[in-house]
Amino acid sequence: MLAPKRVKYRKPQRGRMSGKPERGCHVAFGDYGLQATECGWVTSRQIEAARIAITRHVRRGGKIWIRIFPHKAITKKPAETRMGKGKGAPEEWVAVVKPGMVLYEMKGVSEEVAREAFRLAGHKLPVKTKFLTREISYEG
Amino acid sequence: MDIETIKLIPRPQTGKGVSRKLRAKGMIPAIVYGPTTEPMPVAANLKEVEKIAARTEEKKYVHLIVEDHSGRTWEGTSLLKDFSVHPVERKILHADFYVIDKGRKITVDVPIKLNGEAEGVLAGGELQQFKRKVRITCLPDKLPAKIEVDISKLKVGASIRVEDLPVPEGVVIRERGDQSVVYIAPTRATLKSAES
Repeated sequence: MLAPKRVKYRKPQRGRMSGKPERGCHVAFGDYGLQATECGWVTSRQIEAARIAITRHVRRGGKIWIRIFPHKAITKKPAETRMGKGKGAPEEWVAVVKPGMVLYEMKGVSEEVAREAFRLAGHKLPVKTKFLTREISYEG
Repeated sequence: MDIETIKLIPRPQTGKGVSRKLRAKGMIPAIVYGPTTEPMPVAANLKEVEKIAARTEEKKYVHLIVEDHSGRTWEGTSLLKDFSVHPVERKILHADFYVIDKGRKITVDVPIKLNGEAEGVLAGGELQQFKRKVRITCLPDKLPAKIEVDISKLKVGASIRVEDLPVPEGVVIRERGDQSVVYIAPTRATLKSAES
């Protein structure tokens, strides 16, 4: 699973997910992309589950790019713990996704295969997604 | 040059609210500017701008006519230099029209088009394209719609760099020459056949 090697602060604040992404909303590497249409936190487990769903459908051939990385640590207090006594321990890593961000990219497969692979991957993710091609992305 | 004509309306008021009202009416805010032209905020028809933006392999020249309510008109040939797109809806939000001056050089990003199927790909290699656009400077009449590269003779392990791109006379590439444009990467299949 994806996780940072080291971070500056172990327990970051939650932050906000409002607004549009500044970059990462175009198909940059492959021919097809899976784009988020809403914001959310995507955990490293979900990123991996979606990747496995894509590779299982595509089988051999094709190349996949993961465009998001879980940089943010999410903390959680243990069950049945009283409030206070400081912030909980880091539990998992998440990627902050904004509407429009391209999550995965693919090339070397037909459009039908890519569509189906991304449909299956979309079911593993906590955000609504849509299929994107290079043409729709005005990237030529 | 056979180019399309677009009619634009001057946009005296600028800002978020005005722009949103324009977009609701099927128009988009745009700006017309150039080396000898004062910047003119205008409103353009979204459908017309989308048609020009979709020209990925043609020149994005367009003839502009700006006509205000009093009947005064401004005409000029321009280039759709840039446009911003909504990240989810993929609708164009704003367009930049750069008025060209025939005697003055322009700097533009031009698409790179790969022609043919590489020998290395037929032998089992993988085609990797790192650059799809290249920034060039030239006079407006020398502007190529695209830069075509023949990759049919590329073998496994071979690459084409920016400095190898065939550019027409009068066109100068404004990027570092040692950047790779295309590379035929070896795959497991090609490595196995090389070993045997």
